[in-house]
Amino acid sequence: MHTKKIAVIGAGPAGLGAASVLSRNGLRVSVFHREAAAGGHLNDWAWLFPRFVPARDVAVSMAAETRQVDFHPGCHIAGVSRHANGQFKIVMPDGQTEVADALVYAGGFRVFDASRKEELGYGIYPRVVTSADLEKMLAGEVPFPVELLQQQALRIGVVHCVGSRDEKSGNRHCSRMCCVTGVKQSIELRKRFPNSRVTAFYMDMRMFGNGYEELYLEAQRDWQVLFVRGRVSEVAESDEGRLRVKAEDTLLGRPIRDEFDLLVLMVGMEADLPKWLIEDLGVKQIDAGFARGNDELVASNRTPTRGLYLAGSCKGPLSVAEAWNDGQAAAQQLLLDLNR
Amino acid sequence: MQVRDLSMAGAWGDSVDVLKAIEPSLVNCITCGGCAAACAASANVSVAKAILLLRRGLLADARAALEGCLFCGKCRFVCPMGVNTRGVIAALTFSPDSSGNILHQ
Ligand SMILES: Cc1cc2nc3c(=O)[nH]c(=O)nc-3n(C[C@H](O)[C@H](O)[C@H](O)COP(=O)(O)OP(=O)(O)OC[C@H]3O[C@@H](n4cnc5c(N)ncnc54)[C@H](O)[C@@H]3O)c2cc1C
Ligand code: SF4
Ligand code: SF4
Ligand code: SF4
Repeated sequence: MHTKKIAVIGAGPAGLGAASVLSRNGLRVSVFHREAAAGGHLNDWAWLFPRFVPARDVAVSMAAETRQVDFHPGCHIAGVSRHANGQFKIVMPDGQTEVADALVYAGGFRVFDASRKEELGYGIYPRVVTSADLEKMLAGEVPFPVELLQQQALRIGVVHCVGSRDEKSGNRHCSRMCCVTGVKQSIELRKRFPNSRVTAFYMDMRMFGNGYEELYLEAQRDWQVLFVRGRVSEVAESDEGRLRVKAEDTLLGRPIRDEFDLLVLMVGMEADLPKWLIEDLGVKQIDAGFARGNDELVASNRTPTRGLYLAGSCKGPLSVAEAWNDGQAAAQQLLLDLNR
Repeated sequence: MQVRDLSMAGAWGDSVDVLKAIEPSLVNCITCGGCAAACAASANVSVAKAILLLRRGLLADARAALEGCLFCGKCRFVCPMGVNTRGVIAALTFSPDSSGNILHQ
């Protein structure tokens, strides 16, 4: 059968999806991955929405779907070039190179750095944390701010759209995943701290996936999470170390001045494309900075560069299942083109 | 209670078009309320509300939602959508409507 060699860059859900299809179709597959363990951001989350499946288990079962691949862990690819004969030359950190007939780029996204939104106090007040930090706390890898555990009548605020839908941070786009993450984490916080009250400040609730709307209802009905439509404009610390929040309840047209013991910022997903992908391999970008396929409808995995395919959240915010499917789709597209 | 006609005839038309032409950024508002939360004047002043009322074609009410505004521009600083709130306030307060009347009370 084929003796073609395919390189996959990034072993998150999308890269693993691509590698699983390619390796099962008799191709020689090399997977280059920055971290030691496959899984991408799955290794940063505790339980996944909407059904609280342990994220690491999903990473393991996705990796188990691949057949013989040449896996290069701890291998951050800092440059790829394309020869006149159409082959790709991949430069590894130790200076060694590998040559491939086609390349699937599945480098994923970057979590928004919340300290860029100074008015929300991240990095200034220790009780302001991000959704990404909270995943580590829920997974038991990082402690909760200690006093919280003893405190009676804990007040927790959840702030949506941090670094998304925000021109000041250069991100006009909606990150899609953070609304349901906010709902999921509100429920997890209520379970962890039964004496807490959770208030979520949102601008629009985007419950696009199966089971998300149900989770949103559950949060309100079973966990008494209060959803307030309005943007938090300022956070300050009181003398007692509580967080003073200013917002507007836009549905009632009334201002809110409230105090919380913990604020969780729903950070967005940003583009994280390497220079070489754009400059040396000719990948185009959408306005939000993510990679652009040839078109959004029937060729989103293809690029103007022959043999180069895009997979997963390097193209825009996706869920785990969407990224995995998109990786498989990119591989399928590649196979169709090879056999043409 | 007065029943409101939402036929949209006046919503984005007429005088609102005049205002849009003067301050185009007003169409980017997502009515998040950030401006109102940050407002230095009073709890009753709200650019968010003014823009929402404008979109319904309720010009007089929109003007009323800005009564007491100090024109300090703090709301512009917090707006995530880059709405030039001061421009909106100025347009709404000082611009002529379609019949040539100055909107200022
Ligand atoms: C706070 C938060 C919570 C979330 N929770 C959920 C959830 O509960 N359920 C859900 O469905 N989705 C969730 N998501 C979304 C989920 O993280 C993404 O869908 C998923 O990670 C996308 O997979 P990916 O493979 O496209 O990218 P990634 O997961 O980002 O994987 C890409 C991998 O490629 C590697 N890489 C990048 N560049 C290189 C390079 N040059 N060389 C080598 N390796 C490279 C990266 O290190 C990374 O490991 C959440 C997102 C956030 C921000
Ligand atoms: S998914 Fe929700 S929280 Fe995230 S950017 Fe979109 S609207 Fe904001
Ligand atoms: S802060 Fe900006 S986007 Fe939000 S309601 Fe005010 S003007 Fe509209
Ligand atoms: S300009 Fe007017 S509406 Fe804006 S913050 Fe100042 S007083 Fe409030």
